[in-house]
Amino acid sequence: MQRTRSHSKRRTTRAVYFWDRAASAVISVGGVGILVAVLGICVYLLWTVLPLFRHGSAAMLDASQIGPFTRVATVIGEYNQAIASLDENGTLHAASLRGGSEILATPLPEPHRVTAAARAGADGIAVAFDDGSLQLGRMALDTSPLPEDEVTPRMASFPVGSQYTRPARENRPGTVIERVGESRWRQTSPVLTLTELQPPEPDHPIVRLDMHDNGAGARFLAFVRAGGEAELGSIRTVTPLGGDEPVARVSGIEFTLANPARGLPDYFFVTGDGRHVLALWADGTLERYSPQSGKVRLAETLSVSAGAARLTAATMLLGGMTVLVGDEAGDVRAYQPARDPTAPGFDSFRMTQSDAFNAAASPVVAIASSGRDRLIAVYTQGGELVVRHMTSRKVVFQTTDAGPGTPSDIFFSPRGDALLALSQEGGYSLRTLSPGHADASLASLFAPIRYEGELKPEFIYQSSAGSEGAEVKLSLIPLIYGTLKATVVAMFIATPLAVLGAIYTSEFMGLRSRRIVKPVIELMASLPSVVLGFVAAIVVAPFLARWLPQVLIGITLTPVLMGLLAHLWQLVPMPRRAWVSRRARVGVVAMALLVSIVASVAAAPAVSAVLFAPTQTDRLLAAGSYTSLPQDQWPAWVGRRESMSPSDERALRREGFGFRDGAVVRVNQDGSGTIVEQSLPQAEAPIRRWLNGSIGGAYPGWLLALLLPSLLGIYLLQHRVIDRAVFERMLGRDRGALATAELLRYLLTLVAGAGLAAALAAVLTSAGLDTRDSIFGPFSQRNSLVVGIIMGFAVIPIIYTISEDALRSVPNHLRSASLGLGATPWQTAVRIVLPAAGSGVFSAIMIGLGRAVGETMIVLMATGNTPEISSNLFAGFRTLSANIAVELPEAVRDGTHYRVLFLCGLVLFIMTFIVNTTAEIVRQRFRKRNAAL
Amino acid sequence: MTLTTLQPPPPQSAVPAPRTAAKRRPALPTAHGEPAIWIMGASLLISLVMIVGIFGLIVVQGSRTFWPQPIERVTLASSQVVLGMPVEHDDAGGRTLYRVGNRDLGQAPFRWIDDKDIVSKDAPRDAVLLERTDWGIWLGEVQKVLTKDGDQQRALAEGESALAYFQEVQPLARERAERIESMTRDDLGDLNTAMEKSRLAVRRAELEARRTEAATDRTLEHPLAFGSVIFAAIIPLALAVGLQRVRPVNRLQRTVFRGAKSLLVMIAAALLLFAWLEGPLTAPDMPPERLAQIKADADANISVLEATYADTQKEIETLRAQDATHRVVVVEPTTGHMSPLRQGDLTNPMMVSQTIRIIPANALTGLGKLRVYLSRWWEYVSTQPRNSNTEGGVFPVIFGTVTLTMLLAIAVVPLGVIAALFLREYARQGPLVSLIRIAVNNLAGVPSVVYGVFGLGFFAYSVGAYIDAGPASPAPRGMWWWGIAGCIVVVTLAFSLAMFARGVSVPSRRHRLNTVIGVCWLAGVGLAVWAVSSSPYFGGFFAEKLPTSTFGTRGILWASLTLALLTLPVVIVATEEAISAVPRSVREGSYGCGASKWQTIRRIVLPQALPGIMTGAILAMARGAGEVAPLMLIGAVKSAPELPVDSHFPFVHGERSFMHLGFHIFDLGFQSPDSEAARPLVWTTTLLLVLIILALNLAAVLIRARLRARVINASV
Repeated sequence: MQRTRSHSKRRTTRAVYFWDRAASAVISVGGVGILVAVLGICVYLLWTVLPLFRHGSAAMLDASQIGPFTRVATVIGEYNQAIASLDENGTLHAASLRGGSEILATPLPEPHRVTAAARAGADGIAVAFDDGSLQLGRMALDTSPLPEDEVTPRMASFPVGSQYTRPARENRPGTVIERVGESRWRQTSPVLTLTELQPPEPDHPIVRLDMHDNGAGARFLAFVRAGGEAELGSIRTVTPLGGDEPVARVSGIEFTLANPARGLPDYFFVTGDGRHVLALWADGTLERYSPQSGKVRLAETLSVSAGAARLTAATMLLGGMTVLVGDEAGDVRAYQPARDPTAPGFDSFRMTQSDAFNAAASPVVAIASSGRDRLIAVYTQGGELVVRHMTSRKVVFQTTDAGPGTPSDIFFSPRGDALLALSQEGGYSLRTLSPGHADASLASLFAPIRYEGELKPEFIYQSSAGSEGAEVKLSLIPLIYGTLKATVVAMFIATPLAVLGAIYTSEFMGLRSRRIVKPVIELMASLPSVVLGFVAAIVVAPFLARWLPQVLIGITLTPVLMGLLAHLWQLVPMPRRAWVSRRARVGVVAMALLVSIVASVAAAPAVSAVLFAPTQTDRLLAAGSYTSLPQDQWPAWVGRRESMSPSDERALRREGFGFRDGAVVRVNQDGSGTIVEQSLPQAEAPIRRWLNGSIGGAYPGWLLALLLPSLLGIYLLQHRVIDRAVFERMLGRDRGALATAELLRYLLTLVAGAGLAAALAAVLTSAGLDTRDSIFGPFSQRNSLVVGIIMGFAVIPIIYTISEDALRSVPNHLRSASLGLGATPWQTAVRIVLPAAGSGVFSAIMIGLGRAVGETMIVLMATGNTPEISSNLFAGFRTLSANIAVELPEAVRDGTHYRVLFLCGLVLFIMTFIVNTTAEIVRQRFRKRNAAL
Repeated sequence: MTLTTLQPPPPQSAVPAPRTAAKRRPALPTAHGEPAIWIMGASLLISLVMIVGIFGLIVVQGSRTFWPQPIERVTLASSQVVLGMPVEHDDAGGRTLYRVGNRDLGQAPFRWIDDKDIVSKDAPRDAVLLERTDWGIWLGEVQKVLTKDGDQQRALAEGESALAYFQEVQPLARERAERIESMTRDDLGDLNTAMEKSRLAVRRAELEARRTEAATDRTLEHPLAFGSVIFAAIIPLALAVGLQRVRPVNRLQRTVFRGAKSLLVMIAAALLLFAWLEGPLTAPDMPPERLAQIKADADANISVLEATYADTQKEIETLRAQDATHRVVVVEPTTGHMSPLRQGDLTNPMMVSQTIRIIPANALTGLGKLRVYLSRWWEYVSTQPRNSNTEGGVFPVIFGTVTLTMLLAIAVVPLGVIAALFLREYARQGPLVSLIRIAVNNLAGVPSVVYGVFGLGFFAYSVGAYIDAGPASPAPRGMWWWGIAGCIVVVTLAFSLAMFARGVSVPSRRHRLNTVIGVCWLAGVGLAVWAVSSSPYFGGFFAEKLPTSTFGTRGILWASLTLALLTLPVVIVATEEAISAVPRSVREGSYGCGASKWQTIRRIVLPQALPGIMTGAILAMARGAGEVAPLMLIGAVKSAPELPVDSHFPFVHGERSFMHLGFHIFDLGFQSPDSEAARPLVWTTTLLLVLIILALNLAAVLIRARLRARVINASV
């Protein structure tokens, strides 16, 4: 013992220790690192998304004095380097915004006082003088590189970024000079040129003036003269052939204010589209005038004040469609004309309040709207400054100390990157503003938003705006809705097929068949989704469009027929049935399936022709048997509509009216007045026209939708009752009689179910409800049903495999016990195995659900990718995942759009995370319980 | 015991067994649930039929694309003659869709012809289908082959013999055209690359010069300062060596000694790093004369290359001129136009070399058709795509897919195995580990497009941009060195505590210590990551190419890493299963023989688990190969000019974008300008992709079967 010990115990080499420790260090650190990295995905997404919800920031750049004078029009230089204003006396002042030193103060050639002025676009200006004339021109701070030869040695000694003012001399205007690079200088000088648009009218000077540039070469102009005469004009700048100077062409409509007793309006606006003129009084009265057939008439009068607070400021938002008013109480409200066919005025518009918020406790002094985006800045008496985004309602920046002196005015810089606050004493404070992601907020992403021109708050996703003034609409709700819709349809198809198939495989199939069937279905799991998407779009979508009635009616009738055939099969005496071995039973089922499918498909055209036939009203309307109605006899809810949605048209037809050539007509129920004996167009299947809402009533839709549920309901209901009442008494009778009774019961169930469905359908139809407002609707080829079918088949293998595994893992002694007590295999499967494996099956469904939620390629290829909220089974949609795939390749890095797409990813991540975690927890519990069994 | 044997045996005896009615009542038919079982069976059958149907559809549609179709000559009622290949017949509308080709005449590639307009139909034997380099197929009849030199032209073969002659000369012409092509692409391309390289070298030198100009705050410029820092680094090293000699008397002392040693070594390392970064050794030294030298060298190099370029171009021109003399006139009967040299130029017959393949479809025998079919398949898998992917082969696409899958496997296997080893062998089994396991299973269910979003944002836009241009906002140098110092302290602390914790016998105290150690490690790693990601000393590897991003954009490396992350759960789960399948007794035997843990893992566990790991890897590859959504975001493109792997250094170009079969299907089927004509090809691509994935899955199944066999053998 001693000997062996001393000789054979060799020391372990250091290398073994070293490698053991190194390996354990590397594996531990690496393992933790990898797991942390994988979990870091969520953190990274969150990290990228978070800046969306941050406020913007502003930093003081400069504050000084530029002399007290009234300002009727103001321009800020493009680089926030200088300011130019026109004062009441007709003098143009320009000053540097770094220190406030004045560049020039020149009076205009005309010795007249300015009564009103308005700016439009980047540099357009209209100025009205007290002689009643109106001049149009250009006011800007022009920037150009300073010629090399004008750089003096003194200027060359300034550091880069410094500014220097050069006062006006006889031969050159005053300029602001900046050194922007080692050898690059920039000079800025003010320009104001005016040409006469309206000749003088000494007794009637223009007192209120507004001009708007629609960005497409047209300008709209509206003004009021001292006597209450007003005019709405449009100006088109035309460059004549031959290269002469551009000429402004004016066309105007004169009108007078409707209520002279109110006095002259305090604010006067023309909207960006030139369709509305808004006159606004400080007491909150708003009159909207609208041109119609060569005249401008008062369309609407409303009050925009809240309580007794007087208005103290008003302006138009970018795009010129929303008017913002601020009052003494510090409230700011936004109003916009929205199209409403039932509006009382002569045009189909109504001014609606789109937003209201309290900026501060003191009166609003000025409201500025940015020329770049939908930001506004509100400046109050108490010196509070609030910068807010009007679509997202996000307060970007807020301060209670905007600048010294009595607040008087606030401006955005042309690039929207600075804010200039002016005081009555002439002091200014210039802030650089970084709004961050102003158009994204929790509200704009998830809440309904009343967008410009819309009557109601809505969820809209439209990530790129058509024109500069238009809003970007970033509601994620349509995308989430699309995701859920795709998932629900797919799960409706996949769950029954997969779970029932799994039960069959696990409980009623031989070992050998199972060994073949299971891998075949698992094979499907390996098919890439891009392949399935391609098949969906190229094969399934056209197939469904061609055979729509067959598919719809087939889905409804096939299970019913299968049940019937199974009951008939029960009539076959038991020994004969048993003679068909178990494997052959699959063959019998296959035959029965084939027969049912063929029968229901064969029956489909006839059924659909009966169900979806046009009603009498439809036929008469198509035959031209109708009389047109004057507008005052139209149903009240129609209003002044020029076009009708399908559901509105259906409602009209239900009331015996029709809609032809933009007008409501009454159908002559006696068939008189038939102009041409025309038949309904035959190109489309009747079911398609029914879906589009051009024929038929609500009844068949309800019948189709309710048939299966009510059959199932009746079947489950009668089960207990009839078993008790009839079958327990029949025990002991021979099998044939029992089977006949079963068949009778089934037929009775069918009749009762169909009757119930018919009755419910009749009730719902008479209640005025229509399935075409909910689950059915206009047919588009790439629709939810196609996606549902193919995505359903994409998730079937997952659900099938996991549920089959769960069912198989139920211990066999449970089955043996049940069978030993005399239960049939069916009873064992349903009452013993299924409850035991229930949580496993549930988690299989959840995992399938998680897969369906994130599926990308199938949706991308097989739908129209239109982000709409519609429960219509035959409409397209867009899911979060498809949205990412479509838009992320084009999104600018770190922009709002980019981050919103990351948010889509995060939402998707969270959705699948919840679903998968539920599944995982249920599965672990299931495993534990099974281990205990 | 399986279910089969448990069910009541069917009554087999013709003579019914004696039974008393009172005791054995027949069960109610409802108890057998026949209708419900039928519905279940029907569900299974529907699923099976659908699956078999989809596979069958892909196989049938995919494999028939290349089979030569007969060409029909249709005479219409308007006495117009149309040459076309019937594609499908619309029974309801009574019309037939013909593929007519000849797109460069301005006609649509497909044409519906009403059956009632057709006067007669025949299959002319001399009609040929030409596959051309541009503008798709051409259907017509070969009239003559000629040589054309300037305005002079001379017929070489006419009439009957023209087709045979054409078929004879076409391969030669094609060979020459291919040579021209390869010279243009490879030789000129190489020259261009070399010139670009010289230009980039100059730009790099210029950048360096500018940096030298800017970097005037180097602290250790003076030799004395530099020398003293080096000296300062030697002292802690010497101390550490001295400590190594001292024998600790107790455990505490040993821990303290070890901690002190590691601290000293790390301080020395940090000082050396400081000396290297701040001293004169790596000072960017780009004096004007050296810059001028580099510029002169580059210019000389470029002028030499330009001369070679001109020579090669001249050679190509000569070959082109030769090529242009061989022309062929193939007339289309509808308009009587011949296949033109270029679109709109109807008087100039096409060059012989503009044809890829001549198929006299109606004259072909069965064997001939098979040959055409096989040669088209070969062309499909071995050549470049033509005509914006609607014709030609998919070699780069297959190559891209395979490369991506390989890179993915290379990335995912070690990571997955390490993570699984950690979870199974090293981590203490407890609630935390089961939480992690839930998370890993969970990640298997995260949508692939989310991984794509992450890959684009993190790999391409963050890591890639860092590689290209260095940190976006580098830390000030002083702060950075403080960070390094903090990292050293934290890591040393963690290290010493770990030494100390090994001897603590009270479990609760040890756990508490372990938590502290974990936090220290986390802080250390965090500081290290911060130090790397905001180093003021790193200016990017590809700064000279900016603003063109190299790694800071989509590329195959980032795509494969994204897919690796995506498939990581697959490998982790498979490896864990394989590791846990290794019997406990084997491990215990190994430990009993005195092996260390690592030795046991390396020599016993991993070899046994290898088939399982391989199954996981192959399943991961199969899943990765079929994913498209993340690739759309992070690297797959419509057409990639260069393969991601080639013979130029460094051979694997991770920054290049690539083509992918799945993306190809999407792009060709939905985004292509002529997707109708490309559809048959999409089916073929689909078939190819499905075959690759099935092969991978099959391999996984086979390996799994072998593994099972081995485990059974081992347990016997």
